[in-house]
Amino acid sequence: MDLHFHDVSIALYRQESELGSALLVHTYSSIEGAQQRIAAVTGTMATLGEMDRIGEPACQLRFSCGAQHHLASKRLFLEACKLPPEGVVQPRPLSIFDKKSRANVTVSSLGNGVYQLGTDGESEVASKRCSAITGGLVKLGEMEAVGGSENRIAFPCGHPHDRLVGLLLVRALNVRGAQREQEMAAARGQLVAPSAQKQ
Amino acid sequence: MTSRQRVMAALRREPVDRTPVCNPTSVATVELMDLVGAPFPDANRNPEMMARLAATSYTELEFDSVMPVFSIIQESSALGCKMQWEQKDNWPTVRMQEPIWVEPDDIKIPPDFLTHPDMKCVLDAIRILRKEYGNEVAIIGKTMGPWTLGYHCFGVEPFLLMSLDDPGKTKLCLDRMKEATIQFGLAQIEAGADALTLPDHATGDLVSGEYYKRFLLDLHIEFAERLPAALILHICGKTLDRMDYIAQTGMAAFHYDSKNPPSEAMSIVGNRISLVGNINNPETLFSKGPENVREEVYRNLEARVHLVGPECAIPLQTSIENLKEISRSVKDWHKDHSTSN
Amino acid sequence: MATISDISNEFVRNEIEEYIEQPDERGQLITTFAKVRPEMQEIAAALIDGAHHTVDELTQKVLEAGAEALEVMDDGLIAAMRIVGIKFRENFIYVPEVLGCARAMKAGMKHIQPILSASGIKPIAKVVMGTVKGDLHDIGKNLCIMMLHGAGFEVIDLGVDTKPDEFLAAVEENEAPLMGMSALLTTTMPNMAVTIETFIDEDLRDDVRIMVGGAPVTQEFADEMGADGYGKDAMECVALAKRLIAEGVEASG
Repeated sequence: MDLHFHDVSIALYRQESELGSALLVHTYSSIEGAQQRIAAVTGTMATLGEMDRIGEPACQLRFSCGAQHHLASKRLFLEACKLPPEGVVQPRPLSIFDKKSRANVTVSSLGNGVYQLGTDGESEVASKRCSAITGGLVKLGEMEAVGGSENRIAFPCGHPHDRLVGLLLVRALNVRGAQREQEMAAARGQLVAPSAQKQ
Repeated sequence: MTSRQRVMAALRREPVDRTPVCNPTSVATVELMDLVGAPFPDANRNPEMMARLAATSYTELEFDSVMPVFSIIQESSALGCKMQWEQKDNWPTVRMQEPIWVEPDDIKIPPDFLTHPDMKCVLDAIRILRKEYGNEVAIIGKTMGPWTLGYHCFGVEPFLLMSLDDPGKTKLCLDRMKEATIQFGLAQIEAGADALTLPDHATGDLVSGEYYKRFLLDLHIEFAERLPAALILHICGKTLDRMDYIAQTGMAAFHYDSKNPPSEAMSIVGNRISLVGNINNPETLFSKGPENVREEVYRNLEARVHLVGPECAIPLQTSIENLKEISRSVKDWHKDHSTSN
Repeated sequence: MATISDISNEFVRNEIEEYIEQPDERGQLITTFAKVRPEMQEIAAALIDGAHHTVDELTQKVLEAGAEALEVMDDGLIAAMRIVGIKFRENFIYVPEVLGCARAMKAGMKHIQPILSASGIKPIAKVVMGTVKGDLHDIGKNLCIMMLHGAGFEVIDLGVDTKPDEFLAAVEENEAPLMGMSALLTTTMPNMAVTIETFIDEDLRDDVRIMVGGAPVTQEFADEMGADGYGKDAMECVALAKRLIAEGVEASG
């Protein structure tokens, strides 16, 4: 439900377009201003996620790489709907201050959709938090860990999506599931004594 | 066949041209509310809005029935329970924390029961739908059973404890409350309802099958005798252990939950009662996509369930696309199988 | 090794023989009750039978005779609720009977709670509990709360129809590391996801472990919405609560 526009229900649909899979922001409401609100949310998603607007009248969205980025699209939609309509939409930076470690976490784009996270904190907490935030990005962006360095991840599509990473970075600070998945991945394949096994 | 004919035939377990898609409980969603400008809570209190929103199940979703009684609060409201009306994205509910009755002698059905605004709204909405749609589509009303009224008016815990401490007193309470069920049911039939859903929540998640037999079987047989319309009993949750009893009530149909596999349910009831259901709401209709909806529709059709639909009132944020898939899937299945039921 | 004949109370013996089918559970209960004093076994028998007046009288009597409050709670009440929980899980009894036993437990705890509070025993952890927005059912939640109390948790009960902001405020105010949400309607279950989303928005998701439960809730739904754990019933709720707290201690340690 859109709290910024008369509680109308807005949904994100996936549709086929001549360029492949595309997204459509849609409402069934026909009250005055509803289509303008849809256009605004669509525009916000295009800006925040660096998406292309396609179709007539430019109401569908797609990533230029052609990949669906399913979870990230959902998150992008939610964030776009939450923004108040009168504000200016700015892409999110690739760095953020992490309250828990009291350090800045920065994401460097290495090209081909590969990203490296780092922190300017020197404590063990800062290091752990950097790993957790990396895990958060992996979960939210359906990204994959890549070899070569700790906290290096990539989009499977092999294309950069800097603005998308900036958007997801904010949420990656606080994703409970990310840590748990990291632990499970770390424990996989290890022989553990029965007394040390988690019940 | 018209949609109405299809539903009524299936409720009598007579041949149909295809399995009807039916909603004994609500398919109101926020998207449908937007579509026709009939948001909650007003759509529960204004008969034109109620009829307009109910009609979307036929006009937009291509169901074979419409059911305007979205919530389960009308009778309790008219009996004097405290209500919580909520907003567009939430259901009106009875404040069971503030029960109005404690003893059997507290039970009173007020003389203006049927003219209470929340009751009258339903009756007027049914009249509007009958006038608008004539014989095209089946109109299903709803009248709450005495077990559910007991929860609302006595409070869930006190009522269940009463059933444990004093079964005789509980039966007396049920017997007195059943008149509310019958009065409202008869009024809806007179207003033009073809069938009535009768929710009576003696669910397997709360009480045993033996409880159903002890407290409700005879009452449900009585309802089937006294209400001259097809009755669709609705009980949520696990109910396989009481389906044999339910099949003995003489009611037309049983609306059953996704916790009960279609083939097992059908093997218990045989040809004694029609089954309606049982597409999962929270995990399938709400959370997943059309392909998952199709899977569940097919599972019901393959088990020869008589009418297909959601298992219960659906979450208000359910997408129209998933709901449309129900009817699409039924038609596709029949096309592929080229048979009538 | 203890055997069933080491249990002095005939009713308790019969309950274990008739209703406890899993060997490990049977073994654990036999071991427990074999060590329990006859007076506590009598209280346990009365609780399993739902005889709340008897539990009330017997609890008062043994406390006046000098029994420790913790002994009465652990051996008389909680041990009995373990049998009740298993019977409920296996569908030998249903909610009305469980409510009767819960009423009996409350009758006993009425005498025990004040003693424990006065003794300054530190609770395991704080847990915020509530039924989600739009849902006015609380049977399951209340049973869980009773079991959590018995297990040593300090519970902040938000009641029914709890909005996401209310869960948030209670967790922040009480610095609770654990929260439990209950829903009894499929129509209100989505509000669990909305509440979790609110915690993410407010940067608090990592600070609290969230468990969910209720008749229509499933493990699949709990995983889909990002909960930390799912409990099928009141017994599982306590085990889950302990596990989540232990995980939290480990993670921060």
